Amino acid sequence: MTDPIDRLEAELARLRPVKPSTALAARLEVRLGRPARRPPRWLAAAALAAGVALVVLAWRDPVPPPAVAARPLPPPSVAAYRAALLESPEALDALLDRQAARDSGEPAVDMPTCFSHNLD
Amino acid sequence: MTDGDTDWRRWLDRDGPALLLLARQYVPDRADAEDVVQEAFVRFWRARGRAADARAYLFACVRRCALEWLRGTRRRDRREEAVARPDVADPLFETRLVQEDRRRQVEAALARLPAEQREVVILKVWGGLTFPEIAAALDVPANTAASRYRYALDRLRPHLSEELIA
Repeated sequence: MTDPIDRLEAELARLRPVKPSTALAARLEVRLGRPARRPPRWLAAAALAAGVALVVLAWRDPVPPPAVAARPLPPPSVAAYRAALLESPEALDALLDRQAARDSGEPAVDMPTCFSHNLD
Repeated sequence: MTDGDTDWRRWLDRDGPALLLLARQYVPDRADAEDVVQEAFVRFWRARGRAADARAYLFACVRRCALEWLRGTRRRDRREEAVARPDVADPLFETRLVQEDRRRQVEAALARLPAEQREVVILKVWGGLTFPEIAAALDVPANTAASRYRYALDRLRPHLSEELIA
């Protein structure tokens, strides 16, 4: 036999109290904010590892800038040879040496010379 | 603490109706009662980690805030105004049309109970609290809470029709 108290309690429980208004929830959201959602631990670990990797890469020796290749000299003009011959035998020899180095494939250094102007 | 405990909306969805019902036992006006629930809920949420029983603490906060509201001098004038107005209070319970008489009977019977018995009934029947939780919320021994509850139901039964409790 069911206890009368239990029956009365069950009957009372069928009544549902009025719910708070949505305005109350909105005010609480302003006061309490949105529920906190913690990021997963693996994401934090991955971010930390990425940060460490960036720091390590930044401390490595910088890559040297590419070497500026020496510009190959254009072949001397006829006027250049004539000028060198008029100057001195040594000047002509120097000009011929440079031409020989160019023909052999050795990089020639762009040397400032007294014959920079073109006499052609 | 589970992930659900970090979502205050879950607490409000589960206990909001009972919290509002409890507040309205002290604060007649529904809007004022919602203000009480709001303040109590904020207090509860910020301090719940220190409570031995979080749910009991939540209901205790509502009760304490409602009593503070009653003691407020500026609110006492508003309460007197509310008492002077015709009884057009919002219903305490949601009901279908066929349950309207039942709702009125229950609300009238609850209003006749002494305050200390009425709050125990609300916490037990609609709050779903156990007697130890009720005792913690009201700061009384568990046996006292249980006794008040039985006395309250004994007083309610004669005021409710046989059809209601059959």
